[in-house]
Amino acid sequence: MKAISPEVGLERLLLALETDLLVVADEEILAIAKELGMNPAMKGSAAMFGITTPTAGQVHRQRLIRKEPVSSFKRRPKEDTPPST
Amino acid sequence: MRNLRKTPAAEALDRNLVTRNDLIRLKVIARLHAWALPPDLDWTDLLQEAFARMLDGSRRQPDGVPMVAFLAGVMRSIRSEYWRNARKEAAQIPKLRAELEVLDSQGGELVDPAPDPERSLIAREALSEIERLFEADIQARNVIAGLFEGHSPDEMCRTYNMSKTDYESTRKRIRRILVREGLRSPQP
Repeated sequence: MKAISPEVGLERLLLALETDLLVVADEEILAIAKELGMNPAMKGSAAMFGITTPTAGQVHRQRLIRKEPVSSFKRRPKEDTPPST
Repeated sequence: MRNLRKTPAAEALDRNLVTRNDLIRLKVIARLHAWALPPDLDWTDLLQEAFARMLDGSRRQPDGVPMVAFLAGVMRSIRSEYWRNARKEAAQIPKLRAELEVLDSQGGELVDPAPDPERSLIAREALSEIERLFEADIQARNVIAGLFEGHSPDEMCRTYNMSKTDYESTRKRIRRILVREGLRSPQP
């Protein structure tokens, strides 16, 4: 039996759990947030940290992701479909 | 007064393309993806880049695909793209060496690049940490092993003698702990 590489195995695990998180009720997601002391209903809540509040070094790190200058980005729309359940 | 730039996610929220609950769900999913990211990137980068690509039109939401699912897919493809680029860059180095070499190599053929060692190391470290988190939870370890190997829920229930209810509650426990641990990691 062929051994599964750690990156492939991890990818499978994360994909399966992502599929769950796409379909679970809001209540579960909000319960997790509340367990960590976040109050998503409150404006300025820590729940929004990193989402609506930029984090330090974010612009620099986005350049790392993009690798190319913005002008050379291909604008052809690419459809991204979710994993099948 | 310093003019703070709005994040792409904040922009999407302002345009009513997503709700606050959608954003939190995407934050949770991004934290999951971050288990497989290199240390110089984090979940906020994935999330914001996904929104940026949606807003600039380089990624378009397919018909019938909900926004959150679409953006989760974009985050996954950004992560894959990052590792693909990293592998290409690493492959340039032996290619460059071969071009500069004075002596001719025997076969003249470049060996296929080995799996990215950095990605492999990060995956191994993540899996070790996950193993540690569930050290005392044998059901969770079994389900994680089953997911790792690509088994279906029915196969796992049979192999590990679990009821469907046990399986579902174990999987719920796994995702909550992984997300909690992910969210608990130091914020940038």
